[in-house]
Parts: sequence; structure tokens; C-alpha cells
Amino acid sequence: MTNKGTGSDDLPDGVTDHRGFQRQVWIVQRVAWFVFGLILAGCLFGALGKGGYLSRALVETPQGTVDYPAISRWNAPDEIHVRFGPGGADCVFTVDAAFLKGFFVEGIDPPPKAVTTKAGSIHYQFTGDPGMPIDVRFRLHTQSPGFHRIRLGIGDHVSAPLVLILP
Amino acid sequence: MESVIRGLSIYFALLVIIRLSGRRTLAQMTPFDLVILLVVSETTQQAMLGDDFSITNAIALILTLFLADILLSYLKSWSPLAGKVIDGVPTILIANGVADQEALRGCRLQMEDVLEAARNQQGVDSVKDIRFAILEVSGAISIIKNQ
Repeated sequence: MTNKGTGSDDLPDGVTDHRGFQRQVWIVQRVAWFVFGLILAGCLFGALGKGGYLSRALVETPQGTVDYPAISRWNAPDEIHVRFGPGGADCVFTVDAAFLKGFFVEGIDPPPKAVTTKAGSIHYQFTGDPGMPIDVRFRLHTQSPGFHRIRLGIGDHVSAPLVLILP
Repeated sequence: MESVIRGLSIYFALLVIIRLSGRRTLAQMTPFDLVILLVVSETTQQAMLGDDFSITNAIALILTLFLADILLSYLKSWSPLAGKVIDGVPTILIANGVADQEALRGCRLQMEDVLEAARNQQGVDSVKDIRFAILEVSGAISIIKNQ
């Protein structure tokens, strides 16, 4: 029985003064609280997805913008916002098949005029408006965790960002 | 397979978070702590079950949690160090009427908490009359008074 720090050598049976170990635990706990705070701060900045600066990214093309989730969460709802600039021609939002491995498209508002597939890509075609930009919202549900290299864009301007779906 | 992974992930995540948050959480069950307990249990239930509410999934999850608990208890009996790390060790807060301020700070306890336990358990009203005050692994404070 060791009794360092208690000033006593008659501790109750079964009780040992683990002062050195206890000090280490207290230090680890304080460090862990700091890490908890860092994780929460990261969460506020969007590092854990679902809102925040880091969780969204933007693809800009001459025909419009695509606001997509850069960091998302597994088995959770998410969204892609597509804004087509004013113009009379039809607008086309393009994604590839890898996109569907990571995301399930639950709904599209407004619904597309046509959906076609070509060379491994899926094209969502919307009627253009000469005077007003068109906002389209893709309601998604994430399917599998991990990094996904997806291709998305408007018309021929397609980017291939890396999207992280957290478990 | 998914339910086993989910169950184990949440079980060990909770184990680590509760262990690292410090034992005061268990020792002082205030109404606010009760709220945290209720919210955490509701949140973990969602994370463990996912969108599968079948009886099969529930049974698989329950078996996973019980088996993890059994395995941990064996690990603790085989390795004293594992037991110390997982469960913690008793902390001596007062020895022979002298309070250990470092221990109180480390456990996030106030002297009032110890004195309350002393009054409740032994009817002791002075620190000088406490031979030992020990924060047990369970989170309870044991008081041994001077003869």
C-alpha cells in the first residue's frame, strides 16, 4: 500500500493512493476538454458538416453556380442549390454516376423538364427564363460514408470536387 | 453488420467521453445532469438504431452491448492497468482531517460536497473529525470518521 501525498499510512483496506496515476488522468482529462472545445469550434465552422463555412462549397460557371455539400454526414439529408443565370435557352445541371454512390436524390424543386444520361453522366434539363435567374434545389440523402470524387457542373463546365461524407 | 459497428462505436465513444469528462458527473446528479443523461440517451438511441427499427436490429444491438461489457470486464480482471484506465481509481480527498486541495480541484469537487457527504453519512460536522473522505470509483463519496 502506497500512501504518497495523503500524509497517512493507515488507509482503509482495499484503498491505495494512486497519486501519480491520478495526476496523469487529470492532465489527460483537461487536455480532452480542450479537444472537446476544438471539436465543437470545428463543428461551428462546418468541419462536421450540416452548415458552417467549411461544409459548403461553390462551383461557379458562366451559366450559373452550384452550391454543394463539401462535408456531409452519413444517412442524413442535405441539399444542392443550383442557380442558373438569366437566359432563354434550356439550362442543364450535370452530375456523374459517382455522385449517386454518395447521394440519393429524394426530390428536385422545381422538377426538371427532362433527365437524360450520356457518357456516364446524368443531365437534368430545366427551362430557362430570359429575365430571371432560376433557383433549383436538389434534396439529397447521403448513402455511404467516405471520400467521394464527384463530377458536377452546369452545361459543359464540370468540376470534380472531393466530397467527404462523415460516418 | 452495420448494427454491430454502430453499437460498438457508440459504446466506446460514450465510454471515452464520460471517462474523460471526469467523475464529478457521476458523483453529483443535479437536475441539470439528469437533463444531459436524458438527452444523451435519446441521441445515442438514434445513432445506434439508424433507420432500422426491426426487432432483429434491436436484439443484435443489445447482444453487442452486453458482449462488449462482458469483454471489458474480463479485460479489467486480466489487466489491472486497464481497470485503472477504464474505471479510474479511488481518490483520497481528506486524510486525517486535512483536505487535499489538489485532489478536490482534480475531481472538480468543492469542500462543501465532501462536508455534505460527511453530514449525511456519519453526522460529522467538522473536517477535523473526518479521518478519510474518499471519492470512490462509483462516483460516491465515502466518509470514515475519527474514532
